[in-house]
Amino acid sequence: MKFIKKSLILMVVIGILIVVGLDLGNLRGQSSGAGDIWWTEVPEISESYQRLNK
Amino acid sequence: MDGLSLKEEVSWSSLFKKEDWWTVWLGFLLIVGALSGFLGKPVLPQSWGEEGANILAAIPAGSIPGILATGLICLVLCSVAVLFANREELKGFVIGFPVIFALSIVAYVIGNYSPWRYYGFNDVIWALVIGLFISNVIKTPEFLKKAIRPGLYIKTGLVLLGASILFNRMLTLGLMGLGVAWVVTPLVLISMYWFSQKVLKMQDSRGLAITIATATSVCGVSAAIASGAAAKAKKEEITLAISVTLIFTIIMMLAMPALVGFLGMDAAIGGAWLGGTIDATGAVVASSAVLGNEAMEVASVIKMVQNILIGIIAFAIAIFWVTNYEGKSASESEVGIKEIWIRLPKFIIGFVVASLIFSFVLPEAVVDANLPVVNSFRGFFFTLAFISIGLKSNFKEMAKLVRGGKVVLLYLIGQTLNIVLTLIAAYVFFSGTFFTLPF
Repeated sequence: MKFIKKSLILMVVIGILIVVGLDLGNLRGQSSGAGDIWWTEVPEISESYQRLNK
Repeated sequence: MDGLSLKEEVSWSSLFKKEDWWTVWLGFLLIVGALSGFLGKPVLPQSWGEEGANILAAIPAGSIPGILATGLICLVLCSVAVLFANREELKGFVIGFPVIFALSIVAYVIGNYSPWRYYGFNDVIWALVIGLFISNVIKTPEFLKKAIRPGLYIKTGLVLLGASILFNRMLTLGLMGLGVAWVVTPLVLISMYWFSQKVLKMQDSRGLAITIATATSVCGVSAAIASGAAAKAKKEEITLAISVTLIFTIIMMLAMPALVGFLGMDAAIGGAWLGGTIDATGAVVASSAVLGNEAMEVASVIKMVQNILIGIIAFAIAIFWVTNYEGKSASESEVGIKEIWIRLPKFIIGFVVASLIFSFVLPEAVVDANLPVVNSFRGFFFTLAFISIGLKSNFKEMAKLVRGGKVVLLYLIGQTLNIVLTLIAAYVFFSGTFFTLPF
């Protein structure tokens, strides 16, 4: 059981390193991403609010 | 975080003698400084790593005096708090703070490397990594210790965060937005906490359980910071909650839009689903943009409405903790108002007051003009906080928390419930079958 748990964790970590390293999400070029943790850091949030609030 | 004794009395002098109160005053000094025009946006390292911008673009020569001024402002403000709250530690604080500041700037530079920041590796994460590396591999130098004040930095940052919790925006999508963001979120939060206590028996790590539950159900890192501080969670518990959230945010940011596409879901439903489930705000926008403008618009506003909820949740957690757990003796069946006041972490008062002022007192134009200044200081105080948390955290303590896999299990079960309930709510409120859409 421990071996399976450790293998799963290792697979997730390696998978994420591959995704980030190779930018498989193809998210480069977008103005925001997961590092922007609060809505004031993401201009699209205010823009969407302004459009809906017109 | 700070412990409070039942024997403490309500005293006016505590307003200026307790570091907890000083976090409120520092937060409001910064807010008043911004509103009066005395303080501008702090100069900090810029984004780099794209369009040929190398690491030198992060700190152009012209920005160095501004960055030093940012450090000086933070040093002066925090020194005043230390002077009143712990006068004997002032000298040590002034000696150590420049190093904490320099480490925070390094975290900011690495965290602003765009290709990694998209996947969540921001300044907060790097601040933790740098702090953990120093404390666990090199060993934290003695002269730094008086400047390592995670409570002071994190609570000041949280008072500033209160300014961007705008209750007047909660009805942007009408009741449909509230239906997805405000009905499912508390259900998931309460279910996860109940599961952690009744099934996983996490009574010895309640702070960790509520921090993970809030991060999963509300908005990731910022929710973990606010709820962890409200529940006076251990440093290692907040660190672990943030790490778990980061890993699964990356997975969900890529998997969720693919799943929406695979299921052939309507854009509004898909947007509402993503907005209600993915933790980090930026990840919501990045992933929903893949589905088109309508999905991104709905997802963005659902996330904004959900972010507002953290104001209420952090306040509720603080009250719940002081009335149910903190220092409560077996003979006490109820805790009085006075005890609640004494035990309540004071930053929560500043956090709520800042939110109410920015929501209902200041004109929208003033809010829009000043939020970037307040928010930039908030971001930097969180970086200072996470350098400090890393410097005080211990790998062995973190390993103990991870052992048994309860943390990951709690996250996985909670997130699964979140995904299912939010999908149902998104269909009910955004399919057009039950309600007329507001756009």
